[in-house]
Amino acid sequence: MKAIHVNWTAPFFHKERLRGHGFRTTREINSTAYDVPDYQILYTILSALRWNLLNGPIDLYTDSVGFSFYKQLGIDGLYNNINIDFLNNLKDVDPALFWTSGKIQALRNEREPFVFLDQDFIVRDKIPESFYENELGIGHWEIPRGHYYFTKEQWEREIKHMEFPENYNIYAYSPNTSFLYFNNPKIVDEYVDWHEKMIVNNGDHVPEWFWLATDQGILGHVIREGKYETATLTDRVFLADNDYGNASTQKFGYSEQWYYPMSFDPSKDRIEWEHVWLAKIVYGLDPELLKNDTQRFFDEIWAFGGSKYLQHFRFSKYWNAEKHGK
Amino acid sequence: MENKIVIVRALWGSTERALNEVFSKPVFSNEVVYVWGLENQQMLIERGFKTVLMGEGSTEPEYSTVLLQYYHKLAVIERAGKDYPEYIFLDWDCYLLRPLDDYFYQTLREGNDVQVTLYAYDDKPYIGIPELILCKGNERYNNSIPEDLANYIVGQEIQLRKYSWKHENLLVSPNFCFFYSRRPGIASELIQIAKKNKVENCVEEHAMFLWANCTMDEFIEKYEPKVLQGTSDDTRIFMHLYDYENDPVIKINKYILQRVNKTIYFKHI
Repeated sequence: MKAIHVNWTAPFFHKERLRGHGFRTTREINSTAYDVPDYQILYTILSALRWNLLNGPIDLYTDSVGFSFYKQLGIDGLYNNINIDFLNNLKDVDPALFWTSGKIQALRNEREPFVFLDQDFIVRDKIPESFYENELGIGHWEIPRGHYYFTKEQWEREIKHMEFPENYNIYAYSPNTSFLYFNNPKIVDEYVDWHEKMIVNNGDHVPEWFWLATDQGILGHVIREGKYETATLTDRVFLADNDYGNASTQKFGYSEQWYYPMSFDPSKDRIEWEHVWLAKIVYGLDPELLKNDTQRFFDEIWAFGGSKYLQHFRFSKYWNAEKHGK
Repeated sequence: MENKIVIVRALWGSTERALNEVFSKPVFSNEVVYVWGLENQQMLIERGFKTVLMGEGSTEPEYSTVLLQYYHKLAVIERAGKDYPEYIFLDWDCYLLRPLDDYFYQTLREGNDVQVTLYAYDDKPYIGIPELILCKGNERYNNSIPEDLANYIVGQEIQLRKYSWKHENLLVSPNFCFFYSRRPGIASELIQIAKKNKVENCVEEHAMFLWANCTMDEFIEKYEPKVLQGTSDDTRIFMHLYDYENDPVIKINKYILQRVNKTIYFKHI
């Protein structure tokens, strides 16, 4: 199955306006020239490499700056095709407010069945063919609660440029959009149409939570309105704003990150995948985890035949003669 | 990316290294490659590049030696100067770091009609290059430099000592990774100067040094572009030989930055 990565660099050039703790590392880059931390480059390499090994070709949507950056690093060869025209010409969107718009709007270019992978989503096994029998597939669902999820009243109070969508169900699960499979272009069109409508804020202030509504929230709405049966890589459901609890804190009522619904298919969990996602937030607080994970990504790329993508001098600090040979 | 000033590139030769540097598609909407070799041209066309064929063979016979190969760059800007009133010549290893905005064009157009940046070598025997190649951890050449490369390094040292400014313990030279011009006939002047002086090695850089005919400070004031560095701070090609403060890259960039306020759009590795 063909996959796509999307790297839209425009949000970087508005980094002082990027909101949320997830962008701490980007805001801290002391440069007006495009750059990303090593660990982000490494998980990008790993994501593309591992997909290509077991699941199929992978294409890249980026812009001239992103293309140049990947060429400089010697990683442009990871991709079967690279499209820079679409994102170079993406206009009429505020990249700081809607920083995932590049990826969402790029989806519409694909008319044949495909998988979208966030660059921090690493699939280590072959996805079973049965997964692709549905019109749509996602990594997993999320239980919406907390900061990024809204009530109807909140929307009506804080969003000026459009009305609360009819039938929108704020209590229903939200699809995580780091891994998406589409085999029906009609669903892509409905999703992107809604997204495009939502991002035209006419300069009005929008609260930080709104970007997620234009990304995950509205896809859930499209799924329910169209009654599109949706496959998942795992039946585990992520609980937003959880207590990071575990089996031993269960007895005190602390919530955990993941839950199974009443009926679920545990066999799905044999497929190994990793979404770096939450760790990116923790990296800012735990330098040791960041260091270890960065080295782990490097080692795995090396082990799976990707050493040619690690030749840039900025990766030399992760190289170890004993572990990696000459 | 739409660009208001044409980006000009050069491709000659058929070495793996030269061909590997070529992008798999144009970075800019207004980008032209002046190319030697029918096969090279075909490869570029297949990748979507606009091309101008400079010769059917992969090099110009007159410049087909390791010591004269950079005449190709001068031949390219000579032709580009006839095709376009204003252009930016860009090496393939000069990478875009940010969108080319109005400030970029304004900065270039308010500056001199010719703009070239500077870089520096260490003022040491063999300008430090054999140390770089033979240093621990770089076994690329198995501690034995190929004859062509050795000849090039020896020649480069001789040429550079003639065509550079001595500054502290550095030999400072124009760097032709980026060349902006809206000056008619500049390339012909550079070629004439190079030939008259029998210049070799980094022919285009030495010719630029001779053409400018000024002190280093005057060069910086007149010709140093505000949009890139000759070699980027974070590239530091000699980084395993020098601590940060003593690295020739850092030293010359620091000196220039004290005199020219830069917004960096390209990184030259």
